[in-house]
Amino acid sequence: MLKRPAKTKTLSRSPKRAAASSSRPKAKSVPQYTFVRETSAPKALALDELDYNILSALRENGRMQNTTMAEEFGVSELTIATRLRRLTENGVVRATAQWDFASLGYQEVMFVDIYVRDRLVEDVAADIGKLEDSIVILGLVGEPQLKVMVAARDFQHRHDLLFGSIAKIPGISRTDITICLDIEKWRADYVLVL
Amino acid sequence: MKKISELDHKIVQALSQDARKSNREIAREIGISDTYVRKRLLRLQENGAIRIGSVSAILNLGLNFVAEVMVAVRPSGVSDFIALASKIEGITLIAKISGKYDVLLSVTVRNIEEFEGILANQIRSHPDVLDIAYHIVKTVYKHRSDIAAIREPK
Repeated sequence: MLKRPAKTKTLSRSPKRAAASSSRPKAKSVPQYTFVRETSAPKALALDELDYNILSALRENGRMQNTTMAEEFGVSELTIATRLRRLTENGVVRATAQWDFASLGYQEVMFVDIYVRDRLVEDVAADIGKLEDSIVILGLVGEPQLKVMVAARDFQHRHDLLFGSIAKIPGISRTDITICLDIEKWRADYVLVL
Repeated sequence: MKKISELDHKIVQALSQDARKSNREIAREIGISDTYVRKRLLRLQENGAIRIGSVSAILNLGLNFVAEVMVAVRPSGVSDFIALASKIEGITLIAKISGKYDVLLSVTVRNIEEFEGILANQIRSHPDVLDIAYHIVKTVYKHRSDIAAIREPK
């Protein structure tokens, strides 16, 4: 499943040349150097202390009852429900269950740097995204264009994933594979996009 | 631990969509008893196979700058460096890696200035750090929220 971020920073460059040309009578095709990336920056929701309290309670126990939270924070149950709905609907939080890598049979984690040629990076990302074993796919500034975290069950699976599934995706000109030897810290309560 | 059964998968799947569903709702969806749902969930949690909590979308919390940092560290200093990095708020992932660099860090902060600050004042100034390289993230194409490293490292 591919999650396309509706939120990436807007980066606009208006070089002097473009600015200068606008003061003159418009030529037929003035090269436009303005580069706007996707949509505007996400508007962060304004959160107060109660919101943060709810967030941290949920982090510890995603199934904590509204009544328990209401008692703990000294507000009404309705307030909790309203706040929770606002946080959820704005994509700030989701109460969820997560599997540990090992319980899904994953033994290894790898980071694969991917160099893309002759194809749109987002199309390559979409193809990688279809693989169940791709956990995180990041688009980078410059090269490599993509950094992918993949998980494998064993030696054979790792091989098939890297040299079967990923290597066969069109547009990938080179990969750099880094084996993860140990995960020392993982903020399970954070994802980049929901 | 024991193998995860098909039923376990179904229960957790239902929960991962919305953990605030009651055991009864889940039980009804799958067609089993709610006592069984409660028992299995408790068991899975005790084993560290699952976490029932919440996830926040970093980008919706106003943290707009994401970078992947690779750090080469003098072998004798790796654990010390990791201990330091673990204390830095904006670091969401620390992994030991193979290859030219030894440690990979995912850094998520408000802006580039904050990132530069962490890099200069905390990472680069560590006496065992030999080399740093980083990539700035511009797009997040996928981030599975149903999987995490939950078990304590051995």
